[in-house]
Amino acid sequence: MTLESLTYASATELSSGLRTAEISAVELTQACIDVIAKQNPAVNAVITLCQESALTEAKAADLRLREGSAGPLTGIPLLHKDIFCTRNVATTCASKMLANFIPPYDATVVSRLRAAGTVMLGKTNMDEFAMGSSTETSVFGVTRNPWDLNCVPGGSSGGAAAAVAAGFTPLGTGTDTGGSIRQPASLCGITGLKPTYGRVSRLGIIAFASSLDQAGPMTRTVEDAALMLQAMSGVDAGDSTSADLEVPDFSGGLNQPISGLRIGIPKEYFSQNLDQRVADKIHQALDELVKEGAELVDIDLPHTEQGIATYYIIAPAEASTNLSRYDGVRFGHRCESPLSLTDLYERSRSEGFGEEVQRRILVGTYALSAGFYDAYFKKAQQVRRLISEDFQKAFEHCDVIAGPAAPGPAFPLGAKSDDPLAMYLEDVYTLSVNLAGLPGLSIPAGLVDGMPVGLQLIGRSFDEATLLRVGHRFQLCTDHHHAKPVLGGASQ
Amino acid sequence: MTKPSSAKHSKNTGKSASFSFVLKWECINVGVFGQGESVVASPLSFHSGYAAMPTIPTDVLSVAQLARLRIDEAALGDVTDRFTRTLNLVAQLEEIDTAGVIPMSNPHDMHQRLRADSVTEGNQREALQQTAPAVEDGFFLVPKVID
Repeated sequence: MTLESLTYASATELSSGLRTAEISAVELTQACIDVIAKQNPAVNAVITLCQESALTEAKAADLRLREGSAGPLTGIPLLHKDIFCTRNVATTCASKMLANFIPPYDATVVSRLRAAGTVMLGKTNMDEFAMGSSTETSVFGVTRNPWDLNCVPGGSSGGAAAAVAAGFTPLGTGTDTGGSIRQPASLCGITGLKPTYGRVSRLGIIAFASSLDQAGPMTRTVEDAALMLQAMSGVDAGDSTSADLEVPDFSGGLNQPISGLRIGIPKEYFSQNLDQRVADKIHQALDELVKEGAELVDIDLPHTEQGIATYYIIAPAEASTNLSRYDGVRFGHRCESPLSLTDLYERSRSEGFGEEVQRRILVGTYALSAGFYDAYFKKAQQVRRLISEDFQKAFEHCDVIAGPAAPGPAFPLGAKSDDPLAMYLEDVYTLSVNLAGLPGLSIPAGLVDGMPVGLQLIGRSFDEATLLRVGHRFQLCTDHHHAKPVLGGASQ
Repeated sequence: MTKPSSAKHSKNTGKSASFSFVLKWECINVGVFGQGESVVASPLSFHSGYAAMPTIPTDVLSVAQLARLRIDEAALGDVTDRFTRTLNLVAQLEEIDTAGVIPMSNPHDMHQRLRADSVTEGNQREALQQTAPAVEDGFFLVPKVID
């Protein structure tokens, strides 16, 4: 296998190559490290590279492969978003606040993927504390979109999306609070799955908004997403919100046909906010699914637009509470020579947090304050229920919902960074899914002027299996997921 | 949680409020599931009505004080502008009829499981304090609080 064929292969293909000893885990890991060393300076997707430990882990994987005790992910390289706590490896959340934080423990997602035999290559860039849709608010600088280095990769899991798209790794982890897996997956042309709230443990994921946060796989194919989700899922005694439900065999159900499946099309997802070129690609994708026997059904999600307002109360409110732990005392940034305890708190937080994080803390603090709690936070929680009920009603008429993952393709760096409200619109099609706690999948649906566009599929609670089945069927009959960037695209 | 006796909501028409009140201000810790718990209190004066948005810099500073953030004077205008625009964005929720709707704090309306009340972790003080900014003899160091 050539270097490129190695680093652009899917995990499923690589797993087969490892088992037949066509390649070794050490060779594969070294190939990924070489590509990262060569291309990362331009893309800035990886902010911590664990070269030495990765090769050690790869050697151990090779041993298990030889012994015949390997699982499907043994020896497969992986990059974790820098929001997952990794024992003895820096975990910064792309913030000055945590620039020197080295966790004494692994997140459950990290330990489960480690137990499954994956090889951790390092950590990926992100928007600071996952608050953003462009990976421009990182203290480590912007990540660039491999399809066009002048464009953003989306966010907040932009480093993971860019890394998978650029051939740095077949697998990445991401987190999604309002679209942070699906929107960058769409903008970088990869597969990204946000599981149902509670499917994957949140233990050791640096908290943003606890009732919305969920971790998921970012991969080249739906087949790989199923493999990875299998390893990540399941109840965890360390997260009392993790669902105590049996985890289905996600890979086992992939090949079932989709004939007769009803796909709901919400008209609100095709409003004037949507780039017409993206709309055309989504309609072409739906045509493919109809050819496979699916039936399209018109549905209504009437509170789609109000989802933004709802989200931008609930998420900042929960964030302001979660981020109150950063006080400069037990861990994280501390200001120089504090004069008093209040001075220590205020200067440590103001120096440690970036602008967008502070903006959301302010809004959240305001929304939770006694005189305004009912008008903002309680009201938003009530609308959240209406949004959830919209989905429940829609699912009486369909099995999955389909639409775009983002209103347009990747935009130029800096284009929206001065206008937070324009940036918030990036997540108009994704954040309602978090409010309702549902699973959502973004898969490549083609290119618009050379830039990728994602088809979003939304499922019933804990029905990731149907999403994966539809997504896999789509990838069997199209080749959009095989498209790869000439690194730098038009800009080089 | 103390509610202001004269608080009343009206649609954000941009008109100035017709009355004002003194509000006992509290910051509410939402916890994991948004179950309110008062943690901080300091009295503030606010103009009321739903349009009680902090459009003047002193109000943003008051919110910043609650959040233990310090805003540079040079950035105050910009911070206030963006803060106000975000509040204008979220004000559209007032238009939605939510009478009788039960607030949703968890997408599955689930209750948190309780674990057994038993020790599962040993003492890891040294490991946990390795990332602390300042420690001495196993204690976290902070500036002198009481003279």
